[in-house]
Amino acid sequence: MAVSRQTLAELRFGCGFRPDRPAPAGPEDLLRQIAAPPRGALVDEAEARRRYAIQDGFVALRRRAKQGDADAARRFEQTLAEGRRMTRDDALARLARAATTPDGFVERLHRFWCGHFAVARRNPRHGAFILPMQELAIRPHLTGRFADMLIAATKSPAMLFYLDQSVSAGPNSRMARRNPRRGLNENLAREILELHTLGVHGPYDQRDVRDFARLLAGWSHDAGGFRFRENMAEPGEKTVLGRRWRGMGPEGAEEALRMLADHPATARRLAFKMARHFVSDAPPAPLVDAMARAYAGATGGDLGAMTRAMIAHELAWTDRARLGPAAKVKKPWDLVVSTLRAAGAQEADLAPGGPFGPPLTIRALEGMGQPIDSVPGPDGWKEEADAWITPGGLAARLDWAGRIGRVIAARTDPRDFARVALRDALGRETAFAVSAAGERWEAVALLLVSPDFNRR
Amino acid sequence: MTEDLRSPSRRALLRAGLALGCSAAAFPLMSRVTFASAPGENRLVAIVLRGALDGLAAVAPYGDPHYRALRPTLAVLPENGAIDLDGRFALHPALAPLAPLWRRGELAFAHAVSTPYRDKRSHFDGQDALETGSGAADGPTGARRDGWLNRALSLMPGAEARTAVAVGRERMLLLEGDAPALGWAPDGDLRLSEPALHLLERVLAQDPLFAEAGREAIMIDRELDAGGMERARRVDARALAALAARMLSAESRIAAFSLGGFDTHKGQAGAIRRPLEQLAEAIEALRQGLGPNWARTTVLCMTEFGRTAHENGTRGTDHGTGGVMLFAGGALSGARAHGRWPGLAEGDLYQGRDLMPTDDLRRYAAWALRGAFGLPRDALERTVFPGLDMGADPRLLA
Repeated sequence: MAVSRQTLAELRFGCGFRPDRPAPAGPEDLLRQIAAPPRGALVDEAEARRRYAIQDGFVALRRRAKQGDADAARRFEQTLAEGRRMTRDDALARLARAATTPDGFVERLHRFWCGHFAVARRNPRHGAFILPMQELAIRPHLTGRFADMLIAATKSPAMLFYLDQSVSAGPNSRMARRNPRRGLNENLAREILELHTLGVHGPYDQRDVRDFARLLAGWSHDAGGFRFRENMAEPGEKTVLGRRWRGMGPEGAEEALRMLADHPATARRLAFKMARHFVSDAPPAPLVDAMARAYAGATGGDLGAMTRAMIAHELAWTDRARLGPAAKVKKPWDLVVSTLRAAGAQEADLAPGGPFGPPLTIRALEGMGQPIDSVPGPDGWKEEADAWITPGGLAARLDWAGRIGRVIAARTDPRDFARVALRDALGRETAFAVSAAGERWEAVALLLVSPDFNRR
Repeated sequence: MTEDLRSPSRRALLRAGLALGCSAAAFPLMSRVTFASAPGENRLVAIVLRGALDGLAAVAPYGDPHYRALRPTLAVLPENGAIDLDGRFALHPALAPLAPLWRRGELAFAHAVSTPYRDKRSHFDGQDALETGSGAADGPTGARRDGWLNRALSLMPGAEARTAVAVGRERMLLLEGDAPALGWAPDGDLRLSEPALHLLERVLAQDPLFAEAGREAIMIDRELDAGGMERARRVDARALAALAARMLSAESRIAAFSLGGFDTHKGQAGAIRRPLEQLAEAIEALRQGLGPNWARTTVLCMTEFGRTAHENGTRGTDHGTGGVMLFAGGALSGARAHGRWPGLAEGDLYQGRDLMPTDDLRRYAAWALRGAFGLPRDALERTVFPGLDMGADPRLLA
């Protein structure tokens, strides 16, 4: 069954249909969405700095609490409680934005790049750094220059802490010479080369990793956010991909990041990743090539050009049926978001105690294997359909579908819900099951686990 | 073999049985045992104790002359209800339900063990090290991370998707990797009525990936129903263990789950009680649920690292190094204290603060895999725990 391009635009590149929004205009509408810089950031710089400052206060409070200071102990507990509340509120804010936005493609792009720079919460304080990174380092650059996004993401406290950069001291830095237990940590340097830029098969070796780590030494963070600590910086010459640096300032690593962003291997890798994320688990080479060419383009590292090249390419619009097993499967986040949209959920409905409260969203995502801000590793969530549609994974989707199905069935006729959710992508078998189910909630649940609704 | 079960006739039979309201006796899960393939009949359960269990509280070295001084308020002693094991070590009172296992030779431990992870004492890195089996002192690095139990699974001839099951909704890195493993939660329920399940099969049939996963999911769900398995209202230790036992009584041979709450920085005497009780409940639920298969079962209980030898200023303990590994099951060689006790004198402690690790806990895991599944030593040292020297056989299993 061929699906109209208008419908495919929303299913494949958007967050899903809502009953209260007009029919999507198709590919042109996607281009309109990315014509202007994205709006709707959930935190600003002041809020980011407030969060970074909590971390410093936390360490001091914990020390004083341990020494038996009762007032510090009380404030320490309050800080912990605030951290837990912030974790929940940050999750709900992002869910609500995705569930209600008119510009679903922007949210999908944002989420894709957040996945590219995957960061998992290591503790509640670190968890509070993740939203500032996503909103202030990644979101402004969705259609800008990749180098700018790369540098901003790398300088984010969330990233510096997650990949141990903040404790990395050059082996000959002032700090390491004073304290022999301090030394180089290659973790971030390696992941930038392997995951964020060139890719594991890229043209680098262990010497590049080591020298890039020496170049990055000193990149750290404090209550003000990014902080270059000169006493951790490594003196001497460093060579990364054949280019040499001598000084000790923070600009060396920044230049290296720009060089990596402009590298042809990075262009191919990013194009492949984006095509695989949006179009197919096995993206066709001509599509990837066209996107990589657009990325390299005249100015170099142009994410807007790469994104437009994808939308403009005929192979990005191959029908789901023709893609077969390579057709994308919604990850749990997208499944939950598109369900909330089809149900017409409003932001208030997602609040604790609301009809679509945390048990049906935040906790459901844990159950379905995609807990918020808890990605398994820096390589991000798995893309392949068969990593998600396993017996346990499908059972978890069905379990959730049964529970949310009762809420939806109480608000709307399942047949109407099915038409809103899928428009002309609603297949005959699925439509039959929805109309034949004995219980209304079962009808909704069947739709929510159907391949029609889960493939895109 | 599972193809028998997947064939329409077998499924139809099963369905017919259910439709007729057949009792569990007619299609008991035990019947699946006959279909179980090459992995054999032995079972292995891995329980990850998250948060760093205080080994000096769980299996208290009350015979060590320095123990009481290190733990002025936290020493676990026979005069306070701890169960003496061998004149040197005593089980924490909250583990008292396990005392009969010790008497029967179905409980053992290895003290002063750790992973090779050292010094940073981060839960995050320590658990990753424990589950990946990394040999690095600073924990695993690199993007590709798989669990050692998954790598072991990949070496088992005839292993299938249901040979290993991660129980619960929590992430189980230990079982993640290239070899397919099942994940299932004790409160998981397909919820649909029997007619709706038929509609579901039709809907999923359009897509081979969904059809295959759905078939398996429906089969497991029906078996749990047919076996009288109640869906847990609360996912606690008992529920996790009961589901693990159920799956192991059918086709699964490996189960893994985790228990938490062991990070006892303050008020440890009270804080550690419930998590230990949960551990005892889990082991007891495994024993009961496994029935005759308990005799072929090895349970490994392990934690990311131990805790400080000294109690801290808030009557708790902080992140340490050497810890304890607990073993249970009818497959054990007996009630034994494995490992080499380093002593608790100031000079015996690691960095003057932690129980000195005298052995690599991966050795015990490797020998358990060797004993339970006959995996060759060179594969264990090369693939499952790259770089590990398994050394002399601790004779964990009978």
